[in-house]
Amino acid sequence: MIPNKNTQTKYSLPSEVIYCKKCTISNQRPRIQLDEHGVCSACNFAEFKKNKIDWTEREQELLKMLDRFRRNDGRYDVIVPCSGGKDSAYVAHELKHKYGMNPLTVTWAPHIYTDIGFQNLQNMIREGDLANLSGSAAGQVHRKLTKLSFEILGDPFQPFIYGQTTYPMQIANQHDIPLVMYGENGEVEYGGDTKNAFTPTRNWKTDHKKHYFSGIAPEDMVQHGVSLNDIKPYTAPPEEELDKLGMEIHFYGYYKKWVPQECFYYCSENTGFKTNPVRSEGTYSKYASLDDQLDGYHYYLAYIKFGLGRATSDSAHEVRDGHLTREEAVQLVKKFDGEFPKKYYQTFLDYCDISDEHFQAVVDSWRSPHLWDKVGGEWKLRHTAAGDGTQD
Amino acid sequence: MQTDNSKNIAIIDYNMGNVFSLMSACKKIGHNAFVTNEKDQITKADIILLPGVGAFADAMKNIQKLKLDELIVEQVNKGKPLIGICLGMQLLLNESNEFGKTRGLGLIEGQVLPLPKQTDNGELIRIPHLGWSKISNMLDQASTKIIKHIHNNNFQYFAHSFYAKVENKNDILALSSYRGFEFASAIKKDNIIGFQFHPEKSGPQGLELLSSAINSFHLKVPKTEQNL
Amino acid sequence: MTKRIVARIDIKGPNLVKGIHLEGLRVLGEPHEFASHHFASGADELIYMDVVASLFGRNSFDHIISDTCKDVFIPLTVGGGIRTLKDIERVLKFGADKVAINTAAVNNPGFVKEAASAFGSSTIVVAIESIKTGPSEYLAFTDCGREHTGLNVVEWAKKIEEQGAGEILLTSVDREGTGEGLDQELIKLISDATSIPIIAHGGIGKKEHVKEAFEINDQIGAIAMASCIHYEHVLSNQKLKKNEQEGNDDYLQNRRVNKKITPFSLADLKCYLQKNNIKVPSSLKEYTQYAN
Repeated sequence: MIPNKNTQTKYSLPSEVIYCKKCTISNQRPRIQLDEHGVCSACNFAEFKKNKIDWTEREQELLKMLDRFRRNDGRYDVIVPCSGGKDSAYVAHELKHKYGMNPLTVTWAPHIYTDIGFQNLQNMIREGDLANLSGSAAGQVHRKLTKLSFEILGDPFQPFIYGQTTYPMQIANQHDIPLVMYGENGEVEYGGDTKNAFTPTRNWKTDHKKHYFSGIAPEDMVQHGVSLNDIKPYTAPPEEELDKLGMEIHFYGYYKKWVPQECFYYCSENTGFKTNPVRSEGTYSKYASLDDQLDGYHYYLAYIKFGLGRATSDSAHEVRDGHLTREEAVQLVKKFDGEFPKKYYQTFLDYCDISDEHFQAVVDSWRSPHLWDKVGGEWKLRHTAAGDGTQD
Repeated sequence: MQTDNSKNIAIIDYNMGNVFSLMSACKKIGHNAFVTNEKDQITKADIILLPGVGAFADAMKNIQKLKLDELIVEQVNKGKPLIGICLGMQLLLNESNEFGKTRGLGLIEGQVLPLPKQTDNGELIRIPHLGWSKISNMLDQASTKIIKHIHNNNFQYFAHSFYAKVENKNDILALSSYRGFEFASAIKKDNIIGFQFHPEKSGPQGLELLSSAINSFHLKVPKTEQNL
Repeated sequence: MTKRIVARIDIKGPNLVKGIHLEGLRVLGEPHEFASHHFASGADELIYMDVVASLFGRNSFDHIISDTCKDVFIPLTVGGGIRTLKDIERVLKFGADKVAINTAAVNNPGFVKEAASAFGSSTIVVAIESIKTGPSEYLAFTDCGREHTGLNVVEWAKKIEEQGAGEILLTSVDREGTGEGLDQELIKLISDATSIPIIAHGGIGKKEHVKEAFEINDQIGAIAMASCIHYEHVLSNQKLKKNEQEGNDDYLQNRRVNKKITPFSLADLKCYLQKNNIKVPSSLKEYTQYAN
């Protein structure tokens, strides 16, 4: 029996579950704000993005900024952290073929590649004409960290997120490439901390731990029995070295209006991007987050911890982008959210070297009583976007 | 757009056939069309349109249930113009051999038979015949006067698995062929016209043909050109 | 045999959407407007496919069907979310000539037979969404290539012919929206296994693809296309807008040209095909009284 993790306290979640009036996200997403009309910060930002930003002006800012870093001598001049998926491939391709930069795409490998994910990366390199550097952590260490973060953080993806964040910084440092360009600012676009809504850059000195590492930085893993040597490859280079490099992390979504579906179309035309042949488990979508066999468990745990699964996060941004109405999004959430990712379950258990019982016990320890009700032996949400929770 | 030449057209509703499209087509060419199975309305109409898509036997069953078979035959015998379309044309014949023999309205001598599934060379013919085929007029000057626009480049839309084998050559108004198999695509006898194709689904040339057919009922054909 | 050129219009709510691999909801305008345009340009048939009906469990465009049938006089096939005989009856009442079914046929053995009995074979089209899963192996999917059925497309095609379907709408999900050309291997597998009409769909990127497809396999009676003809219309008509009530208009704001597609109008396509000895119904320009 694993003690309950008390997510409500851990993530400072409000006791009363309220859903955004416009999209399918609730106030249970860490750091989100709902305004006096019951509209979430991500939806408000989307309105602002659509109506108040002068994108021509922003593109001018981009051009000026890129001028500072562009090199015309064959050396790479921008790092694009990249999975081969639609977002990063779009950023890298446009930087190269529209803005004349010389990007180096940098991939922190997924736990286990899906066929479609690996193929998309290769297509991006070949058809997209983009250089790529791929890095993997030592396999056993990575597996140990995955299991550990599944247990202590309720997210097996933590070691992936560490590398995705710090590996590009290491490469920037080693190869003397100060400019790092991410896609969208997830915090701002998806309902996190909007303090950076009006800046093009990420504060890599202060924001990583809170916004991306759920409060546990790589170095903190030492407290959980991981050796310093083992965790070192997951850590960022020393601050002084990055200061000397003059590293800047920018968001492409600040300069260009970010519409994930349009990234998909762009990549289909330009980087050989192909969709998943079936919908991803837990959602209706075929074009997002396809590269890791284990990513279903990241979304599944988010569903357990916050009542917000993959269909919720996919549908929420599609509502904001105008692809779906809220009613349609609610139907999709009702139909797909929380669907258990069966396809790679045994793979996941083997990867983490755990049993089905242990998996269930860990999962249940992340269920907060303020979100979950047990009815007839089955776990059910007390509140849903459709308003058909046990307490709605 | 209705004019002085607008006719009142009763489109027979026996629950089979795309009556909405027929109505839209008639309206488009300037006539007042309505969908009905009521004796009163059918009797009062200038022209009867008999639509139909589906099985011959089911159609006859529905028609008989509504006592429309007696009404239609009575009206036609009184001289009321009638246009039968697709299955509606096939129903005009004596009988069909689809799933056993079924009697039709018997207004034109002939029977309904399945389209062949192979050419004479043994090549596959895909059934149903779904698509556009040319309709060619019979070498009958009178018929071309009565119905303009039946000429050698007129494509109309067909959707059928059976065809009308008409007894009397003189009742054939136009021929078409599908993969080399020739069949009657339009028939005519006195005040009855039948189209195997769907003029209401054959674009502008279909509408022209339907319009001509409707107008032809009021063309008086001089006696000297009548016999062949 | 005279070939048919079919305009396929994917619909979500009040908008025409155009995806890739049947995914994505990029809005190009309103369905009826495109239908009228393609009809005037020479389409032989039209398909209206509700691409989200199965996802949302709703049917929502009856009025679009009837509005279209008032001034577009070519056969209309309607698909998406057709689950019961009553659904078929309703859609036909609104003016459709044929219905395309997929999920209902897969989930409900015998539904095709029932439907063909009730409405006639020539009314029932079965849509096969095919995805290549191995060398010469293709499986059928539903819900715009979202749900696995495990059915091998060849076996499935034979089965639906047995059940009385009048026609197969064969979509290569792998090629759809990519402009990479039709999947000839898939088409041959199905045409070899069946004796009912087939509409090939998915991948047309230029006029040459259409000509080649008809030349390579003369068993194909019809080809359906969307990207090439819709983008041609959108790119040459800046006034086209999405429906006011819903839909994303980011694409319409910038109308970027898709480099994998060489757009063409149906009038151009028909001229081109006729010049290359492919029989298609004549251009309708001679019949000016009722041409739009």
